[in-house]
This record gives sequence, structure tokens and C-alpha cells, in this order.
Amino acid sequence: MGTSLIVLGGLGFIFAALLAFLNNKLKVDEDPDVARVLAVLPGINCGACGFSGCKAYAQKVVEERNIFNGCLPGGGVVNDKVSCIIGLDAGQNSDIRKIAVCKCMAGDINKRKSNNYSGPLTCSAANITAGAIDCVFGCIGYGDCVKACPVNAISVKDGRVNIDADKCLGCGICVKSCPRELFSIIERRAESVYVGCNNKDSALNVKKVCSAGCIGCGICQKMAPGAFKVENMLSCYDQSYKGDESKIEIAKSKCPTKCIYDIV
Amino acid sequence: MKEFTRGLWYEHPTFRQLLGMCPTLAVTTSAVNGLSMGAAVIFVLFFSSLIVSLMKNVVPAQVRIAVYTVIIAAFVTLVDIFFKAYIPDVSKNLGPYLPLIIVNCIILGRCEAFASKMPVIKSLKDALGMGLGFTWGLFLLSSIRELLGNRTILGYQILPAGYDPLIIMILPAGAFLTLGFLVALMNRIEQR
Repeated sequence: MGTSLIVLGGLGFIFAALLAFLNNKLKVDEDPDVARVLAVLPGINCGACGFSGCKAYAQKVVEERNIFNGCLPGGGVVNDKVSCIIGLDAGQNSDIRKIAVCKCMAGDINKRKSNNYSGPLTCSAANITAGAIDCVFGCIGYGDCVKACPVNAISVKDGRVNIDADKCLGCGICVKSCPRELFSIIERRAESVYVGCNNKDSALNVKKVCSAGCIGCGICQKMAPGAFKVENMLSCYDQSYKGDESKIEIAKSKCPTKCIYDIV
Repeated sequence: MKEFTRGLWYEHPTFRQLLGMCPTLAVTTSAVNGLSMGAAVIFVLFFSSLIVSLMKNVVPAQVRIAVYTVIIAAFVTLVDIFFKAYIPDVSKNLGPYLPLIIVNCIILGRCEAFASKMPVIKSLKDALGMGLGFTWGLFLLSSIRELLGNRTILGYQILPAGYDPLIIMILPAGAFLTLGFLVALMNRIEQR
């Protein structure tokens, strides 16, 4: 006992002293800008910028004096601050923030479930079997996205994905988490809408599995030309549409299955 | 002399003992990485064998593994700091595999199986032999991978531009393939 203490303690002490001395002697100074950039970034390490985390992004930003695609969750404000620190012109980053939307907004009451699924309660597991819901395009509702979201912005209520617009940073992690690729990241504009259905089947087959699905009738396309486009029996809203907003409202109210939703 | 040559061939740490697979597979994407990893291992192995062998009569058997770990960790940290300060590019390439030398089974294995029982000079010869054996193993493996996957060895182009690089050789699967072939070759030579 005594010898063990002396040997281990003594060794530890000697080596600690040696390393402390060498660490001081061989220290590599980090660019102070890295710490400053890091302090501005949100720090959730979402990886949406294409680097492995906020630290890696900050190092690359300072090294190359370039903000690349910018910080998605931070948006324009953060990108302006980062640009300032590394000496680029601020203000060139438009303050458009992004948000995630789910392309299936059907709830438990809408979805038909003819299989008695009793496997693991995760979307990725349910997706490879006959499935928990009859629709092969739509949201399974076991919440893989809820677990993936770094800021807890997603919840599933009554089988329907609910995205908290105040919390969502638009980082895009949910996009990867969904086995049916239902999420998309869009620009957060007050007038924007989206189609809450992903079913590319014919109207008959959509009606068989869901009461809230897009049947591809094309009414929205007629009501608001240019804003909506029906392809593969599924309507899609063009996020770059800059035309008359009242037409979108008309299309929304005329939609027979009411599957056009506001983003917030 | 036997202590020295054993690690170079008959008990080669990579191809015969199959120890230290983690760096062997992970960092051998280019010959430079393989060589610098080998150099780091030689340094750590040499000095930890020296200290362990010197202290073999002082260390109580119950805490010997803890003692080895403290000694090895100290030298690995030293190499890590040194690499960061003088060859930052290599340090970046090796990434977490440099600190991971602490738990490399070649080093722990030599400390436990050899240095803790043998006199200093023999331990040092053994450490050098094993270290050099590991280094030439890594160098051979990484040269083959770099040559087939990138047409170069140590950055010099060897194969003509007409050769289409096999990307798989740079990927982890290439490490397993190359290692398998080299171990098979080694066994074949030994069987004769």
C-alpha cells in the first residue's frame, strides 16, 4: 500500500512537472480570432455549415478569411458578426432565416393503419417493415426527428409533427433523421406556405390511406398559377414565388383536402 | 542480438502478433503518416521500456498496470505536444490516433511481457526491434495503399498518369485488404 502510493504518486508528480514544463515551452498559440468567432456562433455543433462542428468551422473561417455558406442556424445576424471579426464587409448577408417544414401534416385521425405494427417504436425501424401506417410516403409519427433536433423544436402530437417556429434554427438535422425524407428547409417568409403531403399516388390510392393527403386535383395550380405546380399527382409550392399573395389564400381555401399550410 | 531481430521479423508486432491494429488500419493512408506514426511509437516504446525496466524492482505487482499507463501516457503526451509544435500537418493527419498510442497493445504488451522482467539493455534492444518492426510494417502497408490509391509514395509520383487510382485503397476497406494480403504473404514465407 505504502509503496504503491509512493511509486504511483511520485511518478505522476515527476511526469506532470515534466509535461507542464514542456507544454509551456512548446505551446502553439491559437489565433485569438478563433475564440472570438466561436463565442458568436450558436455552439450547437449541428454541422449544417459542412464542417464537423462550431470549433472546426471557426478555425476554417479564420484561416481562410471566408465565411463559406455561413452559419445556417445563426442566420444573418451571426454571419454579419463573424464577417466583422475576420474583416469582411458586414451586411452582405441578408437577414433571411430558415425553418424546417414537414411534408406530411396528417394526424392519427387522418392516417389509415391496417397493420398491427408491434416492432421497435422508431421511424427507421417501422419504415423497413410493412409499416405502422398504410401510406408509404407519409409521416410514421414515432419521432426520430424529435430525438434528432438539437434545440427540441420538434414534437409529435396526435401523430402530427409540430415544429416550434420560435425554437427552430433551420439547421437541417431533421432532414437527415427522417427515413422518409419528409423535411425540407425553406426560407422563413411570412407569406410562405407549403404542401403538407408527400404522397405521389393517384387520388384514389391517396384517399384509401389518408384523409388529409394531396390528391393532385390541380385546383391550387389553377387558382394561383406559378405558385403551385402539380407533378406526380402531388402539388408543390414554389418557394421563390413573388406574385400575388391573395391568390395563394384563395388556393388555400379551395384545396379540397386542406393540405396547404402556413409556415408559422 | 536475438532481442533486437525478433521484433523485426520472427515476432513482428503487426504481421505476426497482429497487435496495434488500430493505428495500423487507420493512419496508413499515406507513407508519411505511416512513418511518423512509427517514429512516435519507437520513441514511446523506447522510453517507457527504459523506465519500466529501471523500476521493475520498485513497482508492486498490484499496481503495475497503472504504473505502465502513467509512464506511457506521459511520453505519448510529450510526443503529442512535440508533433503539434513542430509538424502540425502530420499531427492533424494522425488526429486522435496519436493520443491513442497510450492504449496501444504493442507498448503495453512489451512493458508487461518483456521490460518488466528483463534488464535495461535487453529491454531497450527489444523496444527498438519492436518499434522498428512496427515502423517498417506501417511504411510497407501505407506505401502500398498510397501507391495504388494515389499513384505516389511519400508524395513522389511513381505510377504514370494513365493509371486510374483505386480509391478503395485509401478508404478503410483498403487497409483491411492490404493487411490481409501482407499477413498471408508473411505466413507463406514462414512456411517454407
